Amino acid sequence: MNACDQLIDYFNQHLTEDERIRFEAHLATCQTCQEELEQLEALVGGVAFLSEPTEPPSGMKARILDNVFAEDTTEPKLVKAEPAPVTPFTETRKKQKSSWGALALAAALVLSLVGNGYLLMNQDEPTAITLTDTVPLEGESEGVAYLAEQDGDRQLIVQTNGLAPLEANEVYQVWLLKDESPIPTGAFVTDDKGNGTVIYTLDSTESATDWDTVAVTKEPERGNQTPEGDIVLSASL
Amino acid sequence: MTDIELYERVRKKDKQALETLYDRYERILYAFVMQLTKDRDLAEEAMQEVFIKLWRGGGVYDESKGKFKSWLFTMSRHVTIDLIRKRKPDLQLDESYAEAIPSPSPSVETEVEWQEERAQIETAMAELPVEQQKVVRLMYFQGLSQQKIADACDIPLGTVKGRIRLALKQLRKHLSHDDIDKEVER
Repeated sequence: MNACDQLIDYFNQHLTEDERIRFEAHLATCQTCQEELEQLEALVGGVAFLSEPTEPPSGMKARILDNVFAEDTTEPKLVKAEPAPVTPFTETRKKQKSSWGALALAAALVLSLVGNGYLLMNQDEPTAITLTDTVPLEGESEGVAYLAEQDGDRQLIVQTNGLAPLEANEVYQVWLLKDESPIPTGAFVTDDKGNGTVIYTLDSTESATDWDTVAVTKEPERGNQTPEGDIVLSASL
Repeated sequence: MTDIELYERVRKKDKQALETLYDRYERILYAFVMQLTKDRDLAEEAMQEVFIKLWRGGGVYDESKGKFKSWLFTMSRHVTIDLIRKRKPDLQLDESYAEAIPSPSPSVETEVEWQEERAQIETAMAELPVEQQKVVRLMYFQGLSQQKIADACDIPLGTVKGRIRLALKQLRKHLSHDDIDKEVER
């Protein structure tokens, strides 16, 4: 199937996470698809008016606005989010961007971790990895940051797709930031498709910090404690 | 105040502005997400997700994305389909629904400004051949995959996109300039 043929399935959200990332990479360079997507989206506002008029339930406005404005202090009541353990990191769940296809992501992650020999690295019996948050990274290419727990350790996992090739000693460096103050959380190099993965285990102090941003920069060398390069991918947590 | 002005205020955490946007869109958005979910609880949940997104700034609008209204409905549709897939992964295609020509329900008072919008799109739809109307509905309201649209319309997979393209082109011709984005008009 030609990449352009996936436009409808992209628009109607039928692609797997993997397919979506690949299609978006295609979309970025295909003017025909961009125009067709624009046209599909532009008409949503028109066809919506074909909807059968339906009286909103009484009290809905108050319920919704209460929940929306309460979001800084509590989990919205109506959103049946999966229960998550109460830890500093899971607080980021509230700020989570819409991550449709979370299941596909989780499946992709497990496959990918197995592929990276991650389970083998743990010589003891492999234990389940629990994803506590999934955040799409935005910037020059595609990526996803996962916050996970395994054996009580908190981990930051970053996967990228389509990053620009690196020069000799360069690395992609992942950072966690709070109030614009970064700590390095692992570096990686990419394969020929710009794919890269890094898994970083946070120590107890880092685990207790309420990080607000995850970012990836291109650094001239490994081991930088503060970023020198520009941010290529980032997301709010 | 225009939608965009309201949206800018929402970005600065102006609760009043969000409430005004809510009031402005509640009925049509609710009708729209009901059309997609056919489930009142799910529709309300979708509405909440949409306004949480607006409030938190998830999914950012700027004028390069065309009309605010189209962006809002596209975002809402995305959120709603996402919810349907999570909560009702086996929601079945309702053929009879796809064929039905909607008629305003007399028991519900439609807001005046909608009547105009509605009349416009209905007129535009009525101009389309039946098979194009069907594909538009399957596409926008059922959110079907290309394969399922092909099956439902009994046409080859490769024909679906062309038929949708044709239908959109016809619709655009009949809708007022105000209703579609500049990018599309170009």
